[in-house]
Amino acid sequence: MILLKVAKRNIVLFLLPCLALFAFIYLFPTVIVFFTSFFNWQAGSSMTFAGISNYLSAFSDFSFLKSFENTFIWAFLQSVIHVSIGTILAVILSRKRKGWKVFRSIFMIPNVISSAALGIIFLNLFSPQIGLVNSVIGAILGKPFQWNWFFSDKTAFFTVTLTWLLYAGLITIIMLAAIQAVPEDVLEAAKIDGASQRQIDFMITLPLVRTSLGTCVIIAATSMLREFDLIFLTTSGGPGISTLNLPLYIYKTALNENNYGYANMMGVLLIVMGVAIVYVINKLFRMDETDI
Amino acid sequence: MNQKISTGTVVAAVFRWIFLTFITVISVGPLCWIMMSSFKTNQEILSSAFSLPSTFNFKGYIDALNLSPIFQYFLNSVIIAFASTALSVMVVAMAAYIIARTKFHGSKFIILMLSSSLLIPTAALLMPIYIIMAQTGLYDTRLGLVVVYAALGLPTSFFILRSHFQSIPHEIEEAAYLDGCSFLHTFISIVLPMAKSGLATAGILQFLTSWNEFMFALILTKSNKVRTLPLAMTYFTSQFSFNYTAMFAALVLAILPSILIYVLMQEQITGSLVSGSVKG
Amino acid sequence: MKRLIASLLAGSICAYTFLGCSSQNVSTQSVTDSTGKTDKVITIDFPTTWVGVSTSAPWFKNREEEFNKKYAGKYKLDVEEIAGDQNYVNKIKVLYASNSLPDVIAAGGYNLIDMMQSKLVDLAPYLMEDPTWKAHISTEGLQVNSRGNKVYGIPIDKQVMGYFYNKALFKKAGIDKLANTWDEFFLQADKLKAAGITPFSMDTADSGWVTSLMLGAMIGQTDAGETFMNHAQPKNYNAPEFIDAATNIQKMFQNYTTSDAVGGKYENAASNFFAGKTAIIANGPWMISSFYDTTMAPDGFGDRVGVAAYPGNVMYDSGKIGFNVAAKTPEKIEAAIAFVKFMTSDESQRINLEMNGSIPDSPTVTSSKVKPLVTQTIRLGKNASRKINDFQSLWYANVVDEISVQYPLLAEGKITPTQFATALTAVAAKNK
Repeated sequence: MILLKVAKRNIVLFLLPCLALFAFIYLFPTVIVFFTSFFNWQAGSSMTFAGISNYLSAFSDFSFLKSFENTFIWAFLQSVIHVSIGTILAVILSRKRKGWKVFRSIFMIPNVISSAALGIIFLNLFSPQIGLVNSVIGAILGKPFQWNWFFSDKTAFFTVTLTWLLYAGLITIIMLAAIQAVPEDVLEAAKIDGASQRQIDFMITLPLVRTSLGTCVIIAATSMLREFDLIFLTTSGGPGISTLNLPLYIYKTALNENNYGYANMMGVLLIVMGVAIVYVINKLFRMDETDI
Repeated sequence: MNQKISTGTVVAAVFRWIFLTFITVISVGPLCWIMMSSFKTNQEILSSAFSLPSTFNFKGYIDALNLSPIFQYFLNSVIIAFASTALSVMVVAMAAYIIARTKFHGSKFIILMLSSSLLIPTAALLMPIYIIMAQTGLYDTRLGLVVVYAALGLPTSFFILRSHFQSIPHEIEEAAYLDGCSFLHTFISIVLPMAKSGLATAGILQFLTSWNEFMFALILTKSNKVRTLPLAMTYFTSQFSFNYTAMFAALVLAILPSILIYVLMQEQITGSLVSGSVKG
Repeated sequence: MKRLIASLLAGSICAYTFLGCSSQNVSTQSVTDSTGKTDKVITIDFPTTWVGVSTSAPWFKNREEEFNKKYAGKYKLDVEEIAGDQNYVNKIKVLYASNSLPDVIAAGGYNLIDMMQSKLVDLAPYLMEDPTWKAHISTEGLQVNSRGNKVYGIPIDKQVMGYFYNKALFKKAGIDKLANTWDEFFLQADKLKAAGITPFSMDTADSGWVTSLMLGAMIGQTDAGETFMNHAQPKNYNAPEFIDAATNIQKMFQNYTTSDAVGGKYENAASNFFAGKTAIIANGPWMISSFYDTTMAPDGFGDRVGVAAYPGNVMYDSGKIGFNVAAKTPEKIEAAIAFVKFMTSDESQRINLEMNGSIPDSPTVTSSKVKPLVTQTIRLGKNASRKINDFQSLWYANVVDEISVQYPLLAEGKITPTQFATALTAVAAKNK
């Protein structure tokens, strides 16, 4: 790995604004979250020190365990499936065939629509009585089909997973920018050597955009660790706890049960899980190294 | 050279077109549905989601404008989103560049620290950030939201820019330093132009974060002068009352200009995305 | 490219200058508001959900104008618009945790008193000073807003609810009188089904309001049940009357309602009723004006609707939590109380009754300018044998939230009514 030699003064100068902004907004809250996770703190009563009892209760809390599991599965699914879809799209668009710019704009449209609207749209799409999905299936089967996608125990998880498909557009944007930043001369050389377009895509471009791919996986996984809106607006974690994830459970604990100590404890565990995931992905994609 | 059209190519092309069509349908479908619904009455919307409206009246739009201060909120969203994007991208670009190009004691720690901030749940942040804003006089100001949004998007922008800088060959910078350019000057006039597409990407994501953010907008603002678009959407449903027509009309009013802005900015900022290549 | 960066930088600097110069509201409670001299106008911070599409929005606009006019030069309302009851409660909680509660709070019946008692102003002394004001407050209203000898809220309306039914559909099914027992009620449901009509509108989302009203009414038909449905923050839901009621609710979900009831929101339940798809819906008198709103219901629908007490002559009839005061300085408290007095005055309650069908708390407020269904509701409430309070006002917030995710399991038969009760009890236990 080749690095530049940069004067210490410049290092500090360049890092300072970012770290200052970070400290201003995140430092105080992070300290509070970490600190109060060791306390019994409910709204309306005073804080009492509780040691690690919050953490211990978590491991016998069935809702916590289920939400942890759901969050992890979704992070995995999002990293694999959505990143794949987004990358494939980016590769397709990078060929710059006719109309690629139009497609690039089209794929971003769902991200501009507020999640409140998306929630209603999905509820209507999968509505047992009037939804499009059931109408289509009913037409194929020849008789009315009124399955309740979001609120039947069997299909709730699957349906909620489907709702995030639209966010693949963001992955496409990132990967497209990365693919198009690959130096021309490398691609030229490969073409001259007789490589086919597909060979170039998979054997040359993809490895070179490795760090961006890693970034996309990190963004996808961590977005699932924070995902809240669409679940809240559709199933609210139900039926029962089948679609409950950690951010939603933390929100409910903090705002419905007013149990801030417990909620912050889960926040700490979420942060730890997330940092671990980021670390693993970092290593997997060898993101600390540059090839050029 | 002989161009042989193999079945493999045809299959690939068919697959490609099916894929693109599918993604297009699910991207544009919701928007079409929203537009159609904005002309239907509440009854029509709730009784059969996919029928055509019976009349094309604009009552929904009139109600939307009467029920909520939507234009004012829209303007605020534009200002705040742009400002927070500019702030975030500038600030993060500098830090990401350093992390990408140098190694020093604590660089790993900084990376981990920034990753951790990606994950702090919003529910946990609400009260502490409210206190910070209140104590510094930034409560109920646009500047307050700008700063908070820039910080919220900080980790994502950092990762994108860092990996982007890593993929840019450094020979040109080295050449510039050998020529005697200062670090700052090189950064501004050589590195940033080469990183245009990465900056644009980070900028777009940051813009979207600010555009759609709801919880902090609710908690950190009070007056209509300062509030943003996501809050406007809350005016159309309450526990016992609903006006879907007006809500969808409001959405159309919000989405169409957003798409326009996005398309325009795409061209402005990204221009030709074939930059980043090394010339000779 | 360089020019672009430069212009971006310039642009953002300009933006910042602009933002910095734009007027800022540094209006948090922690900033000590100055002195309250008599020549200075005192502002009253009042966040409210009565905006946008809320049925009370026009009424509140009217009241705000009148208040500002009446007290011009002395007091002025500083209204913060927070649309959505959940958003409102969330923000108030954050403000509470940061010791920045606004001067006056009106949470629409949501119980914040128990959580925020320490920061609310005890209004009992002010009531003592003004006996005529106190006389206008109903006993139930006062009781529900008090904790011991302290009064933390002043009510403006009462909760009076029965169920609405579609007279035309009843006629079609051959039902000629209202059910006196729940057995008769279900027999009527069978008759409706036989005539091709879906009997009940139900929902599960957002606390399953419509469904839970039925649940509560079923519980309230016995002595023990009536006590339960008037008891605040119950911890134990395993009582037989609860489980019996839950069994009936399960039956209703599985056989007697529309397919979009599970997962449905209030708007789905309401629109099914408006469209004549269902014959019965449980809800309060604020719904009455929508029967006459042609964007919601067909023309003349209001004349086809009747209101009834639940079998066993059970009615929801209880006091509601009203306006709380959390102002900090004496001048602000005085201003806040003037505002609350104004909002809960007989005149305000009367206008509320006429515009929204909100049943007034004060025993002396009546009006002839209301729809017949409203008058009937009031009469049914007065004549009820058993009077109960609704679950949203009584139960813990996390139980109310949990019921939404347990209903789908109950409806699908994934859990038994006993397990349903156990789940709610477990969640209630989490509240210390």
